[in-house]
Amino acid sequence: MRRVMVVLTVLAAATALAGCTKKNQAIQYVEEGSSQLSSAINTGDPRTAIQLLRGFHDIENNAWRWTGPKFAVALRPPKEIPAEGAKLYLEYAVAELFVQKVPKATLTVVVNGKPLEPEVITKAGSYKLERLVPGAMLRGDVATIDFSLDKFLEAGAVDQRELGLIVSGVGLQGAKAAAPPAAK
Amino acid sequence: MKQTAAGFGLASALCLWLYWPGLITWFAMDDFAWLGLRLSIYTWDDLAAALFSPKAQGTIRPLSERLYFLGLEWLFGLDALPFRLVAFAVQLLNIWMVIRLVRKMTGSAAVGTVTAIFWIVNSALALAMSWTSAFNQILWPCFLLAGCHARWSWLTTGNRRARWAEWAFFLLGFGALELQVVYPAIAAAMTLLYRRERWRELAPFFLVAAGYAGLNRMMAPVQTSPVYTLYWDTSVTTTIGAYLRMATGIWRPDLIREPVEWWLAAEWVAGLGFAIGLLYILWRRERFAVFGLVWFLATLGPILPLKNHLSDYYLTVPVLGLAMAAGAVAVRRPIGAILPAAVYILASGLTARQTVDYNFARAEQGRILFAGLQEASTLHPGKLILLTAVSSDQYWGTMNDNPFRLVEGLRVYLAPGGDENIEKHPALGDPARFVLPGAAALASLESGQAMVYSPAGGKLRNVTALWMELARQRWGEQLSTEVDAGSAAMAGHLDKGWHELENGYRWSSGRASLRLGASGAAKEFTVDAFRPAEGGKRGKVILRVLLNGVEAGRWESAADNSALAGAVRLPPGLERTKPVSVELFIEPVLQEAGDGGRQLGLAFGKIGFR
Repeated sequence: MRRVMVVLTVLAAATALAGCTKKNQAIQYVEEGSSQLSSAINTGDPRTAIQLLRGFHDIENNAWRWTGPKFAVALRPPKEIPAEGAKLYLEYAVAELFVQKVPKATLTVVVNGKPLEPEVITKAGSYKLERLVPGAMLRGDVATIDFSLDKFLEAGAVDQRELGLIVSGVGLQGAKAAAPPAAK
Repeated sequence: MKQTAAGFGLASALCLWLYWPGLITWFAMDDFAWLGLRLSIYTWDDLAAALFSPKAQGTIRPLSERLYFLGLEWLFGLDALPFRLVAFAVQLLNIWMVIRLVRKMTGSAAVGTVTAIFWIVNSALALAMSWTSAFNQILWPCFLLAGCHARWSWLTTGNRRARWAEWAFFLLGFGALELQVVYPAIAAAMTLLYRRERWRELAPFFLVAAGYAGLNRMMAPVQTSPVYTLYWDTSVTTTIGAYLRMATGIWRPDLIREPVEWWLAAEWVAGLGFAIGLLYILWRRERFAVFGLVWFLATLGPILPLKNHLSDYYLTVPVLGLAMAAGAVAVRRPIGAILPAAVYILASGLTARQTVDYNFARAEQGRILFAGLQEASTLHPGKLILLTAVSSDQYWGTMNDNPFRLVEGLRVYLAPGGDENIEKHPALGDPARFVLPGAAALASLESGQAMVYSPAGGKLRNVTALWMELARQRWGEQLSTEVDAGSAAMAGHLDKGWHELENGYRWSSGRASLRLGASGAAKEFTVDAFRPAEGGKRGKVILRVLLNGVEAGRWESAADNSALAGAVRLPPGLERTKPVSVELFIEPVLQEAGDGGRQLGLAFGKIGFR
């Protein structure tokens, strides 16, 4: 028994030393110069987090975020807006859990205080909402886009947070499509 | 002795391997509140209050919290490593004492080693092994075990020094955790199971414990939060059921893991194996297993009425009792114990490691944010730092307990709107209290007195230019509804009649004016001002306030009264949707001596609508 214990101890100590690989990260600090807001953002990109005004939970899988029932972003209007208007898009997914609890929900979209046609959500899956936004609604350097769900997952239903959609991207496209910066 | 040493080597190596990240984990959450304790100490009375006054929920833990934080911070500053080294050293001592005690009580070092291993791998220990504020859960069993050692020595040898030592450990244990009141029950179990003729000597322990419990209840503030309210009803049975499931180290109410069926199966195998083993060993009338059960029930009992505050952290010490019983079974019937023990060690150990890794990552986010802000403050001395895009984890893990006050000159706020993506936990605090009002933030930025940083993604970025674009649109037209005249950030709201900013306040002349944002649904206009000792030069001073030209309030400050703070209801005719002009009239004024001496009215702090 004693020999077994000694051998096991040596083995455990060796394993312990081998397993101690975690290190404190280096401090990462960036003094960036002037920049400008983006017309299109990936919600998984921390560099554009500043444009997520409200209603977004933390980044998940470096790619997307859950929203709450109301969420809003700030976008730079495209430089060139076609006569029919700029294209507003929202890349989102509806979780299976969401439609189990909320069979039908309506997503309203408001650009700078003016409503666009709402979106009705009835099925789980990945979607892309697209709406044309007249140039008159996009005057100024920044456009605020407010989204609101009439029904959502209450806190405690499946999570401690209020949950709405899973959003990966949102943007305004002008004459030439604005590509969102790659997630980093 | 060699077997004990070998067992200790094995168990301590396992402990270090499993909880290694906890050794290099930085501070988080409540740690910052304890680290801030030193800021309240100026006199010996302050020190006494810092060490012994009851804090939240009436806790008084001078050894495991107050002295631990004050002493190590005084010696090592904000370096977390010495804190963690002390915690790990005490835990290794605990492991040594567990193996020795069990060997003495059962005659088997193997039972001691297996007990220690079963205890170590239980995921209930993970929080204590990776969060500095949970040191009380490591120091407390140290006193419990030391007391048990002394009692065993007294019971078996009659050594009087052991008796005195037991009393010393018993009393010191109250400095670690108030739950030390349960020690007499554990001592009684040991006595009645092994030397029942000595039961009469237990009475003084129960008397002291009862006295301490009564005193603690008297000193503890009344609990208004349902989280810490004690419910003495049938909910106790539900709570004990939840704790029994959690004691497997595999299940927690907040833990969702895939595949669910596998984890549930592991829980069943470990739980059922333990239950059968327990029945077997009780049938064999093994006294040590009964002692383990009493340890579990005694140390868990006091927290069972907290039905709204289930936490595996509370099981850190109780699960040692179950480990004792399970350890005895595993050594007596090793073949039958292999499967449940292996499943338990793997599943609970994995859960423990995942918890420690999570705590490490959360604290790292805080450390990087904190260090980055220190660097930013060095690069831009004297400037306000506004944080935007702070994640919920970063806020609740680091910011909520305001760590920035620990560094002189570091002035950090949340940028306006910076609280709007942070999850709400009203019981823990309100992020809005860190938010600088929009108009004030914009004015500070326009005047070059502030910078904006984003910690999103773990890298601190200067986003001042970017944020200004947003701020101009969102808050460019706004004024704050409350102004701190003593803050440089608010200078844009002040009009005529103000002197230079001084240390947290600003003197007015006899007449001063400012602008405030629309009062909206506010009910009152409030003002904070003071006058220093003037040697009776002015006598009574009268302050009149006009809102949009209409007198709204009048205050008098007697000669011997330096502070002037008050609130008045808003005039019924006040326009609620437009900015408000505020005029302050102070009579008489104080004329400073000498040519160019200032005309002083009152020194103002906050003025605004509430």
